Amino acid sequence: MSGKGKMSPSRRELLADATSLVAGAALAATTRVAQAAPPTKQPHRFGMAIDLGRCLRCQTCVVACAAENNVPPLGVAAAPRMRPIHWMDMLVPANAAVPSPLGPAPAPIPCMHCEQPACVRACPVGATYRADDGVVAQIWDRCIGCRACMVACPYSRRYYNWAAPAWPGGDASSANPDVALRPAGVVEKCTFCQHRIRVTFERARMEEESVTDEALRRLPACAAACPTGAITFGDLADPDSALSGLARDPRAVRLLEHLGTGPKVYYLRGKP
Amino acid sequence: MTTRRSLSLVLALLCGLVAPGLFAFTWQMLEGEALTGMRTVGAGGAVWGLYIVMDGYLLGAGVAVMVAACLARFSRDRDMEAVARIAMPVALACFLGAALSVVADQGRPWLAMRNLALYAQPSSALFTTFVTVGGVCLYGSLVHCVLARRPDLAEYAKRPSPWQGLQRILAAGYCGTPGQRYRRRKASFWMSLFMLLALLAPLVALAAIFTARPGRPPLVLGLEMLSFVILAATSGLGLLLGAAALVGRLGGVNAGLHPRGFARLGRILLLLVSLSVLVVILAEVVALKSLEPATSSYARALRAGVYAWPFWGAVVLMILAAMILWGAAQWQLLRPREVVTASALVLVAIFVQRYVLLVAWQTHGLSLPYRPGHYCPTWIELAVQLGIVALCVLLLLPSVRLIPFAPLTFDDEPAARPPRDARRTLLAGLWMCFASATTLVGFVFSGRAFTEPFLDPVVPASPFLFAIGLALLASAGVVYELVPERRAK
Repeated sequence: MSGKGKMSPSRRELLADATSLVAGAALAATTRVAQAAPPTKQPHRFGMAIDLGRCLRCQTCVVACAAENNVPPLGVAAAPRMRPIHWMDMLVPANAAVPSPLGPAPAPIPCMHCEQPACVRACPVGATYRADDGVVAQIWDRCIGCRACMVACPYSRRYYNWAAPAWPGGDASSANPDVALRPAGVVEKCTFCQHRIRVTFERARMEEESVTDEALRRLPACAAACPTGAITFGDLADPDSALSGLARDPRAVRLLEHLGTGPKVYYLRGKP
Repeated sequence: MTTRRSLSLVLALLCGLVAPGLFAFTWQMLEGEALTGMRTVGAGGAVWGLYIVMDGYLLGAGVAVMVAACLARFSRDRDMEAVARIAMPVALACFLGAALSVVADQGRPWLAMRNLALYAQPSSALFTTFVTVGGVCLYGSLVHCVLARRPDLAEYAKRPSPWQGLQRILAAGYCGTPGQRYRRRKASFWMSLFMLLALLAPLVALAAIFTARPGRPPLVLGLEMLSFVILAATSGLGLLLGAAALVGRLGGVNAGLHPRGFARLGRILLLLVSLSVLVVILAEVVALKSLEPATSSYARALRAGVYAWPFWGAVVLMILAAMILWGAAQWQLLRPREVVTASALVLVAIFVQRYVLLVAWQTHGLSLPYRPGHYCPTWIELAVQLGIVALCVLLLLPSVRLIPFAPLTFDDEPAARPPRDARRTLLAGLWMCFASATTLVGFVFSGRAFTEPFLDPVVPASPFLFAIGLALLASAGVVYELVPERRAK
C-alpha cells in the first residue's frame, strides 16, 4: 500500500469509525443515565401526623429541627426584618379574614410533602423534586434563587436565604455534618430529615434487616424531640403502620386539601 | 450645536443613572437580597417585588408594541408603517429591560443563566418567559427590525457617516429590484405572522405567573388574566405613542408619526383604556363576592384596605385618561398633545396596577391565616431598576443612529411576482425543517424525555437548544431574502 493510501482511510474504515463513535456516544449517554438513576425503587410514601390534642405548643420541635438541619439563628437584630427560616414553624392564626382549619390555637407546621407539589411544577430548573419515597426534596446547588416555588406553595412553607447565614461567633463548627450548609440566594425547606431516613435504611440494608415502623415513628428530629409524642412519622404505603392508622382516624384532617395538592401531613384535631 | 448639546446632556443623565444602578447591583450581589424590601411570604412580606413588577410591565408592554408593529406591517399603510418603524426599537428596549430585571431578581444570577440553559423545565412558566424572551422576543425582534428596514439601510449606506460600514453590511445585496421587493414583502409578512404567534407564549406565561395561585376561583383567575393582557396592550400602545411623540420632537416631522396617525391610535387607546377600567373593576367585584377566603381577603385589601389608595388612584387615572381622549375626540381635538398626555396617565396607572396585582396577592391573598404583610422597595431596588431602564435607553441610542427613524423609502407599489426560484425555496425550507427539528428536540428533552424530572436532560443543554431552534426559525426570513439571485444565462 502506498503512503498516500495509508494517510487517507478507505470508505469502509471511515464508516466503521463513525459507527463506533456513534455507538460509543450512545453507550456513554446510557451509562450516564444509568449511573445517575436512583439505585433501587423504594415503595415508600413517607408522611407525618401531628396530634393537636397532645401538642403542648412548647416549640421543642421547632428548636430541634433548626439544630438538626443547620438552620442558623435569626438574631435579635434581624428578627424584625421578617426574614426568618423555620423548617418547622408554628402556624399562629393572625388573619381574622382567613379562618384557620386547625382552630384558634397555634399548631406546628412543617412542609406538607405534597403528592402533587405546586413548588415542583413552578421550579424552572428542577432544583426541587418529588423523590420516589414521597419526600419533596431540594437540590441546593441547582437552586437559582428565583423564588417561584415560594410564590407557588399555598402553605408558604419555603424559606429563602436573603443573606449569607450568620453563625454565633462567626463559625459553623457546631453544625451537623450530615446536612449541607446553604449559601445566600437559595430556597430551603423541611426534608422530613431525609439524611436520617437514608442512614436508617442503609444501616438496615447492611445488617440485612428490614426497617420497622417503630424505628420510623420517631425518626425526624421534631418527632424525636416532642415531649408528648404528638408527632408521628411513618410510611403511608404500609397500611399497618401507626401513621396509616392515624390517617384513618376520624379526627384527621389535612390542610387545604381542596386544592388538590395531596398533603402528606395529617392533623388530629380535638382530644384523643 | 443645540441638538448635540442636548444629546450630550441626555447621555450624561443616562450614565448618571446607570452608574448608581451598577453600584447598587454589585452591593446586592455581595450582601444578598437582604438589602431589598422583599421579605418571606407568610412572615409578613412579599418575595417578589419591584424587579418582577417591572419585568411584567416591560415584557407586557414590549409584546404589545411588537404585536402593534406586526399588525402595522400587515396593513401596509403609510401612517402604520411609521408605527412599525418606531415600535421595533422600543420593543427591543422593553425586552432587554425585562430580561435584566429578572436577572437582577435572581438570588444567584450567574448560576441562573447557566442552569436555565442546562436544566430549564417546560412545566415552569418561567421556562416559557426565559426561553422565548431570549429566542423570540430579543433575537426575533432584532432580525425583524433589520429585515424590514433594509431598503432604508441601503439608502443610508450611500451617505457618509460613521455607521456606513455596518449599514452596508446589513443592506448587502439589496438593490430594490422587483424580485427583491416582492420577497421582502413576503418575508416581512411571514415574519410578522411568526412573531405574532410566538409572542403569545410569553404573554400567557407572564399572565399565569402574575395571576395563577392554587385555589383561586376560575372566574377570578380568568378575569385577572384577561385584565393582565388588556393592560399589557394598553401600556404598549401608551408607550408607543409616547415614543412616537419623542421621535417626532427630536427627529423631525418626517421621522415621527403623522397627526392623523396619532388621532387613529388615540381612538384605539380610548377603547383599550375603557376596556381596562371595566375589566379591572369587574375582576375586583367578582373577587369580593368570592367564597374563597384568600381571594376575598385580597379583594378587601384592594377595596378599602392598605392597597385602596394605589388601586383606586390607578383606576381614577385611567378614567381621567379616557375622559381626555373622549373629550378630544368629541370636539375633533385629538391632537398629539392630548393623546400623549392621556398615554402618560395610562402608563403610570398601569404600572401601579401591576404593582398592586403582584404584591397584594403575596401580602393579603395567602390561603392560611398568616398575618398580612407589606412591601416597600428600598433605594437599592429603585437604583437598580432606574439603572436598567437607563441602560436600555443608552443601548437604544446607537441603534437609532445605525437605523434612523426617518424613512427614505416607502414601498407601496405592487411588486410583480418574480419567476419561481426553486433553489431559494428549497434552502429556506431546509433551514425551517432544521430549525423546527432543533426546537422540537430541545423541547422534548427539556421535558426530561427518557429520564427522571430531577436529572439532567439526556441531550445536554436541551433548553438552550430549544432557544436556539426558535432563533433559527426566526432567521428563516433572512435565508429566504438573502440567498443571491441567479444570474441570467
